Amino acid sequence: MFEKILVAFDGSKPSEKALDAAIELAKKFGSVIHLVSVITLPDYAVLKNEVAEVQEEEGKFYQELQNKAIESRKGEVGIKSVIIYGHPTDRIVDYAKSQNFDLIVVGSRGLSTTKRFFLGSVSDKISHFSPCPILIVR
Amino acid sequence: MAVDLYPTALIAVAITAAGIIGLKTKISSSIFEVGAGMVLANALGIGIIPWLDFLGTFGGLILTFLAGAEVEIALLKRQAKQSFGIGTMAFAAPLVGIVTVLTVFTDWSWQAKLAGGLALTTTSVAVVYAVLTEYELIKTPTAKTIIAVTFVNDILTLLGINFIQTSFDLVTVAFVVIMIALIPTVPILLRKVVRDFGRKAVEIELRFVLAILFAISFFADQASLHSVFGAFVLGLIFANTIQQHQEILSKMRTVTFSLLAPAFFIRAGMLIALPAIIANIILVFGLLGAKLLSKFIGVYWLCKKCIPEAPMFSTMLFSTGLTVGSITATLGRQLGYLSDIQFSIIIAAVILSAVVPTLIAKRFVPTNIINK
Repeated sequence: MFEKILVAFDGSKPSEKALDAAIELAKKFGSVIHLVSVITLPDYAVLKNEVAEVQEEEGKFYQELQNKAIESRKGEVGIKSVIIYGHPTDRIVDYAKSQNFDLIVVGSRGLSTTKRFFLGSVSDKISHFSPCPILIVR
Repeated sequence: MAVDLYPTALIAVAITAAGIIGLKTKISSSIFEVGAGMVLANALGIGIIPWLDFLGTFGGLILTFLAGAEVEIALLKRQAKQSFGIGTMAFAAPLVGIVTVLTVFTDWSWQAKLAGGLALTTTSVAVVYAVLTEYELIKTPTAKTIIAVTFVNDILTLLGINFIQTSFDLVTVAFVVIMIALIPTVPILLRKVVRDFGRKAVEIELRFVLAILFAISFFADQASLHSVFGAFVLGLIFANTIQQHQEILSKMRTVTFSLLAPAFFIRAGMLIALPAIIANIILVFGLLGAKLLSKFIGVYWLCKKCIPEAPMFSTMLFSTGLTVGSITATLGRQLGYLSDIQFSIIIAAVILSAVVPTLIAKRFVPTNIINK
């Protein structure tokens, strides 16, 4: 039923919970998990190197987080590490479309109404534009 | 002379706040620094204090140097034919377009028209690079061509500022000769400095680069050229070598982004007269429209021929502008070509040109070549 599962991962507790939930599902359905982190590049940057530096530093940061998360759950199911660039919602939805996922699993940060109004909720937005079913883990 | 700590504290807080807002919104802090400068000057009545003026000038020079140092000479050589053709049109078409609009609708002096036109001819390498990276196009041949064109566009703009008012003499010739002599000398000198004095707490290699930067900027000024042109050419000469010494670039970025670039953009914001923008808002949008239309007329058909997989996407990316445009406008004001009102109008149009074409370009992303 769920051959390919996308887990949106930023190293936060909710995203760790999302990964755990995805692993449980993957065990049942024999799915492959893509652990996806999105690096947001600065819009309207001043220098090319400003962008390259964000790419490099945040790339290392997310790679380490992903490695730790995968290492601590080693052997349970197949997990592929993926890092992409851009605005989280757009890029996760684009990636899900391009790779034909069967399920997206995201953690909910439990934002307050005010924060949700100003910052927006990634899980909310993904649920609106997702090409496949989405599981929001609290 | 004692430093007035009230404006100093306000500026320091504004720089920090702009950086935090930039990080939270994932928009470059430079936009918020310009905004903070506008608030400081227009709402709180803070003037440009001497240290900010110096750091802002220093910031403009180092940003220009780094823009030059980012140019990938090998890529430029490989893409020479296409990039020079499209890049020249991406420079010339908006220059003609903007000068025409200013001639028809304003009574600006011809130097003001040229300075304004040049500030709006640019293509932002950084904005283009971010979009190409975001859509995973950066490694495609299409992206290589687009990046090479943006380099050519910036080179021509910075070359163009010397022709607003020409008074070349023998010192100009000496400057050109010395710059040519520096091409083979700089790599040897930099390698020697790094080998003999590198990785020490006193950062001799950084001092070396900054000393040459100021010396060449001064020399360019004396040679009836402009200091930022000297800084850019020096950056070009340093490009190949300094790209191999990422640790020097990293230290320069730390100094630039923590202090010098914020000073440059806050000062630019403080020079903006908000009432002038409001009173001339139609002209601001008219100039933005003229830039977009003239870039379209100038490069779209060439892009259709040379970049057939993404002609509209490329055309819109070539219509972006921010750093070199801001530097050119600031220089135009410093030299007295642009009045405060004219500078405010041009800088507003430059900032809009960073945002509007980028948003349009994202609607034309060539998804067919992604992941190929």
